[in-house]
Amino acid sequence: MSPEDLITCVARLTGTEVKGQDGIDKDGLKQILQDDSRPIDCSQFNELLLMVHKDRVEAPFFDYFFGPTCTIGTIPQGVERFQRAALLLYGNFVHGYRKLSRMKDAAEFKREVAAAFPDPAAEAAYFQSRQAKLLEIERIEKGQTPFVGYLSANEVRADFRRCELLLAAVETVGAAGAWDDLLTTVREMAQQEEFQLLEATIKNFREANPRADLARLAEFLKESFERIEHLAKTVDSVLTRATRNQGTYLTWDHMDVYFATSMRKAWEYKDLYEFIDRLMAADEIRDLGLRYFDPTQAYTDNRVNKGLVEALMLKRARCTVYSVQDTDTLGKDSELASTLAQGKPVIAFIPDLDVEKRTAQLLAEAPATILERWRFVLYADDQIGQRLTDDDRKVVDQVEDALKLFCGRKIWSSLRDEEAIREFASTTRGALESFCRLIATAEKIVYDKRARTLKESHPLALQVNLDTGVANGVLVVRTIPDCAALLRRVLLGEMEFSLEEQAGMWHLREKISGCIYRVVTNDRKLNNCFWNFYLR
Amino acid sequence: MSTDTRLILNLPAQPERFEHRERADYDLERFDREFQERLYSEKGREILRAWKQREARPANGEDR
Repeated sequence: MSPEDLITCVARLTGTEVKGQDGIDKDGLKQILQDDSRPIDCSQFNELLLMVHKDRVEAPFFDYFFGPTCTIGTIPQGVERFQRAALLLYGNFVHGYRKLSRMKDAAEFKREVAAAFPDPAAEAAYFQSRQAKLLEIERIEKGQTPFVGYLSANEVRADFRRCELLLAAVETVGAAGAWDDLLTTVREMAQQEEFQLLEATIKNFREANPRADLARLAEFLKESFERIEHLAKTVDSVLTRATRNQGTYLTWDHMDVYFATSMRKAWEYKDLYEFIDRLMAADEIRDLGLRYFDPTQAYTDNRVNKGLVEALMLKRARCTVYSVQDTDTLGKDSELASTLAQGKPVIAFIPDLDVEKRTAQLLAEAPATILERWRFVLYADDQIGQRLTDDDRKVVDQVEDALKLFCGRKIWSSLRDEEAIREFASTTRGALESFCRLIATAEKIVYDKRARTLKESHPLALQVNLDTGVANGVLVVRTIPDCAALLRRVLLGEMEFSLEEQAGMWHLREKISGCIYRVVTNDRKLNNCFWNFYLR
Repeated sequence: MSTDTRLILNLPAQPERFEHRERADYDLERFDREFQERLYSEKGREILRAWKQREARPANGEDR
């Protein structure tokens, strides 16, 4: 090691330049440093520090970062070990060095650095030895999770009431009545705002059943009424279970993972259910018996209470898994920010879509969902119009019209008509597949772009622990196995990092996600102003 | 209409439904009450009551 190398190492260790280099005995240093294999103990290390005008360190500091086998040649490794700890604990080398190097009590020192380097075996044992929870949540199956959201639940109630009105109207007119009599009665019964939809319902029924009379309509409405009533009872039962689950989550003495999401549409509930189900069953974490708050399983009717429950879960959970869906929303972005501001890790999951698999998934969806997905990509992918070829445009024209027609003719939005869906798929087969591929391609572009933004360019992908000022970066993963492996590392404190210096700025980059987790900026003015408000 | 225009306008096929509107709470019963108030005219409520009474009679055995 040369004297210049030592000066560089010491500057990195202390977070400040080595001043007064003219007064340093470089010949003396050269003599001491010439043999890389020369053992160095704490007192000799302090002599080196004093030779370059820096403060000495106490024994716990040297023992922990440099160790009993330290030699001249291994000093850089010890410095790097300190830098990692200082980045993780303080986000600041100067403060880290001042604080840790002055600690004389070995036990106190170990407690201080334990947060940066916990013992993964002990952490695993903690999770594995926890007692089972007294109360388990009552699972709501995937297909029923949309009823936890107000949109699907309200759709069922609205269909139920509209069907009830039409049934009352048709039975009041009588089976022998005319269609015009029915419309007159419906117009009398309904308020203006709702009449148009009721009229459309009758029109759609007549188009689907050209020879039907009012007796046939009455029969259809009775059958629909029973089906929707059954669905309404399912909604009630789901909400009862989800309300109870919310209470159960509140009583759990441990809460390890919070899932941040925003769900409105039915597919968003089902997608999140599937993601959580697959993630929590992954081999990488199954042995830990993790407890997690699954928003597809919980319900509160009061928005204020809902916000408070979620805030409590964010406070209690050790980390947040942020499911990056179609759009950024105030809800989940606040949850991401709240987690980072508490100094806890956020893992952002953005699926790495396989276009062909996704096309097949879309083909299995109801036309209304395909149309919704098309509208989403039109909104989110601003380049889609540029990419469409003439053939694509023909497909879009044909399928979009067919989808709108199909959706417009749907009689009840809450009931799925399997036969009609099958018929639609078979009549539009080739074009529908091409249309779904266009959507899948656009979705992939949107998700890839969102991943790049969060990983590489968004300034708020790194936020600050409001208590300590330590910068905390979002960890972006694209696959469920990566998400599970990273979650394990986060919970057991065994995340792996690479230490990088780019243009004088220090990064701690997490290895699975490739994301920056901690930083120290080289902007002197910013550093001074920033830490004046945290460390004084 | 050209595809480009349609892409930009993204014309909805139907008017917005009451049940799809953003709500200040997640109370299904309150939604149900508000929806019924929106759905029925005064006359409609009378017809509904009468129909429900007619429907209930056979079950109560009053017509036997």
